[in-house]
Amino acid sequence: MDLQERRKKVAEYEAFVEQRLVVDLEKASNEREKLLQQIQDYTSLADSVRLLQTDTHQLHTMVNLGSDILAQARVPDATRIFVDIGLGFHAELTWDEAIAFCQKKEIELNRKLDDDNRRIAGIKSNINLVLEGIRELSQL
Amino acid sequence: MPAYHVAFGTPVLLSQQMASSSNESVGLNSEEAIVRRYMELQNELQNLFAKLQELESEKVEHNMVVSTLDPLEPSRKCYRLVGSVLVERTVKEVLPAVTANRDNLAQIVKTLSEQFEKKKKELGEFQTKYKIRYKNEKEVRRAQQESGEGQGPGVLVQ
Repeated sequence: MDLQERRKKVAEYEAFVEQRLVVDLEKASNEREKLLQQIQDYTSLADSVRLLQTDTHQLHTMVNLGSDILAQARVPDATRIFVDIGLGFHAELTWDEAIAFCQKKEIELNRKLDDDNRRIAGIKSNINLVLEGIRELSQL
Repeated sequence: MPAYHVAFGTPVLLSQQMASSSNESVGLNSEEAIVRRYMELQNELQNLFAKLQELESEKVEHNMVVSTLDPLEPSRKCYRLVGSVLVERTVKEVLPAVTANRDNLAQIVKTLSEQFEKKKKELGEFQTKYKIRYKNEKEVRRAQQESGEGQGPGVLVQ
């Protein structure tokens, strides 16, 4: 391979890294971030429910009206709560059901997280592979 | 999971003869056309795989909802998000719809995975038929030295 040809190859591989691999990596990382957020949400929901259980049936809380203006709110009967169970459905669940659901959801989300982690690792190793190839090509 | 196909070698046909000796049945008469078809098949396979994964995760989501709603008594309230509005429904009303949807999804996933397997076989057959394989750098160089010229015909530059 002459120099010109090699330069062309390097440019091609670089373009592949920039346009495909890096973009994919970003996308996958964003998805992973979202998953982490969801996992945290469900964990904190389970914690809140456990907190409720130790308390009375009433719930005193502050509601954010927007622009961080808070109003006091009282829920006279908080034994049943509505939980987003996915697909836009919000089911009325008892505390125990809600906690059970949170645990189930967490397991599922963690499985997804594993998948994402594996995918990200794959993309990263591909990037390294191509970069290594580029280095070799430009050194030769 | 063949999400990527990073190969430094370029897919080449072993020789022009082999390609032309077996192309009557399909009517692919140039190496370029064969390689193009091969890449096309690969692409289709990848797309199918992505779609399959997407539907699979949707199915899991449906299962999640069904298994949560299932043990609840039918009269239990279950709001449904339509647009950005919550509409009051009961489990009794909602569950059959979700179940039906899930079964539909399962059906689609099944046919799609059948398609995927078929495509995979097609690709494999195509590969053996036209003797496509990935040459590595060393072989390419050796071939170049042997033939005493530049890259031979049929080399596909990615």
